[in-house]
Amino acid sequence: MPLIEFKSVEKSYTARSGQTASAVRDFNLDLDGGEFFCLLGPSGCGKTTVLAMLAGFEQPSDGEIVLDGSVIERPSRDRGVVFQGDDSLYPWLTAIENIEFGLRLNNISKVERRKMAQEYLQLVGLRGQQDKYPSELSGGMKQRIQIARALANRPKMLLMDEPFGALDAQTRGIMQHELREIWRSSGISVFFITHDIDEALVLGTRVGIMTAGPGGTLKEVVTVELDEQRVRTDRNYSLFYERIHSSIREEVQRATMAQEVA
Amino acid sequence: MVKKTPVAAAAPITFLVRLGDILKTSTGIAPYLMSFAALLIVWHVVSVYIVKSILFPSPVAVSLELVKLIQNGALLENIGASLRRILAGFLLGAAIAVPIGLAIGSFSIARKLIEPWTEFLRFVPATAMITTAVIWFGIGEASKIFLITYATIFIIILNTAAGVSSISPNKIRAARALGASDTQIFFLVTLPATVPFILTGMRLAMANSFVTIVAAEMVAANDGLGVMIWNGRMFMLVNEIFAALITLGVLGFCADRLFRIGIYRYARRYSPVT
Repeated sequence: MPLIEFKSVEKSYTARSGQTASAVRDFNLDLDGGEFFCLLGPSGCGKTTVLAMLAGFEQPSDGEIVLDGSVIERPSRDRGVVFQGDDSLYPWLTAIENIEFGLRLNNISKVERRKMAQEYLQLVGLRGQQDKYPSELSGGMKQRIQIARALANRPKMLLMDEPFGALDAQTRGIMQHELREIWRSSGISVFFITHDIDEALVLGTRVGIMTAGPGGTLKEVVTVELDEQRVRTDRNYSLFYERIHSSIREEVQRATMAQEVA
Repeated sequence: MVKKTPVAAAAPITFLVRLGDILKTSTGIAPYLMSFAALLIVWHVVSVYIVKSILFPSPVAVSLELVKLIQNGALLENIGASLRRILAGFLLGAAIAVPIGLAIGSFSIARKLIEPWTEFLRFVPATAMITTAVIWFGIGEASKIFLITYATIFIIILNTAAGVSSISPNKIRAARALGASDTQIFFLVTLPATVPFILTGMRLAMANSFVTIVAAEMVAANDGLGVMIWNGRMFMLVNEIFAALITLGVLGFCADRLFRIGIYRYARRYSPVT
């Protein structure tokens, strides 16, 4: 049985004008435990909405998302979330206090949670930064805190919404590498949203491509059959890149044309 | 001689440049002191050389008056009376306002129910309520404390509510995904995230309190700085009026400084600006 099942998930919003706008249509997908699934799509296709529903922040208008046999109705500790920006961190808490926030919520003793948080602080390479406040840390470090905070809670899944989108290319590369290491050593499942094909190819075991929005749906899923050393100069890598690129280009063109018609 | 003239003309400029350098590099309290000294000099020049009237006393005359008032105990007594009222009313106001502000910011039903009251009452200034306060609570302490409380409440409610609604949704979402209950979100996310706004509201309310106490004491009180100013008018004690005005400025300035130092000392982690 898969870990997660999206069953004909729909999401629509009622706009202020009273019209219903569709954000996600007929979304079907099974995710296995331990997968690193990357969801790719042009902006506005509804990828963030899919993640918000998987996290339990929002409810599908129709259909359901099933985790381990039970329908997702609300956020829960078994799905840790890493957001794109740093506005989810608590600026009045130090790095280590941010990381142990989830443990504090679950009444783990002070000594115990500090010890656990230290472990994750080291795992994300922030040793020595524990007493700094988020405002004193760089963008990359702040994303590391977010990742450590989510992992310290020992979730079944990590949901990541373009977590490296705001970082510079250099830092992004390093973070991608480290995330993949963490994923490999921990065996956690990851659901990762991005609009960067390279990022999806470097990280993912499978890559889902969405159709253009509004009201996007899953167009196809590509299994990334590449070995561990994923480099752009590799021939197979280029083939995968081309395949995904042309699939997305089609969607972007369709979206542009639809806009011009409208 | 020909050579000397430009040097003499340049002297004041070099002085100004040097003063600028001192101001730029000096830290801590030095620029403050210089600025205050400049204020005193301007005041002195205007009063002694330009206005030349007994109705506009010089800083020297006012200082002597201040010394006299301190020595005979009148000043400290009046300061004490005013500060006691401010402190009592301010604390009571803050204690009432913070929970109301949090409720307005957190629950839309509370906003709808309470906002008509606050939006209406905050345009009725505390000074306009003085007569009502005296009729209701008499000339004693109660009416003054009521007025300060009234002057404090609305600005703190407004700031607190604004603070709650400015919390980014991702902070709440992150807490939920980490397993937070509604109660935990309130105490561990909403409240700490709102603290800087509450503190700002309190600083503004403190300034309001100083304005209100003087007006209230002028109309109805037996002691306090407002009474000093009012009585000074009746007996033409211009020096005493000025002494009271200076005292008010100094007190307000010190109160605000103390507040800032307090924030920096004990609530630095909540402060949006470091």
